[in-house]
Amino acid sequence: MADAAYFTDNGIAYLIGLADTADVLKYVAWGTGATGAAVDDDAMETAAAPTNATAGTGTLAKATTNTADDTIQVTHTITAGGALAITEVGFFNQATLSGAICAFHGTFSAINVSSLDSIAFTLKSVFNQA
Amino acid sequence: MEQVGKVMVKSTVSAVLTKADGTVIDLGVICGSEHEQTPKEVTLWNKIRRILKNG
Repeated sequence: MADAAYFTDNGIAYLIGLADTADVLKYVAWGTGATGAAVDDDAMETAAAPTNATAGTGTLAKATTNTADDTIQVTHTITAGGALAITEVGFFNQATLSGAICAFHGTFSAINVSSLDSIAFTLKSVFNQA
Repeated sequence: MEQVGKVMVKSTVSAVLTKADGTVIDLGVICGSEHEQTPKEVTLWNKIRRILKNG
């Protein structure tokens, strides 16, 4: 028998289920930073209005991509109050960004928005056995 | 033969832009990454554990 050790698919589903039940990783902010996201990011680079200090309350859900409940997904729509070039988005464990845990950070080519334009974001992480 | 488990985390952002005049533009997946979970890259798992522990 081979020596082997795995964190199982059921283990992944259990942890994601706990995150889903806790329902705290759902606060979404956008921003205008210029630096690419990295795994050790702990905040937005330049959070922008209307989420410059307080993130919006999104919707957290578990989902299935490859195996049952292997995916965390957060959705939220943010409406601009003025012209912005949006380049980053993230989700957090609390609305107040100061001191919040940045659990997800994505950066991308600028999306130019004007007053009353809105972006509906879907932020998704899939945990999959390699 | 030793087998070591790995967990890959693939993260993506999708976006739909709605202009003030009502025009809807589906931008699709606007960014994404895939990285192997290693001792230095268990950030999200650690954050989940911290949140579950501390609320």
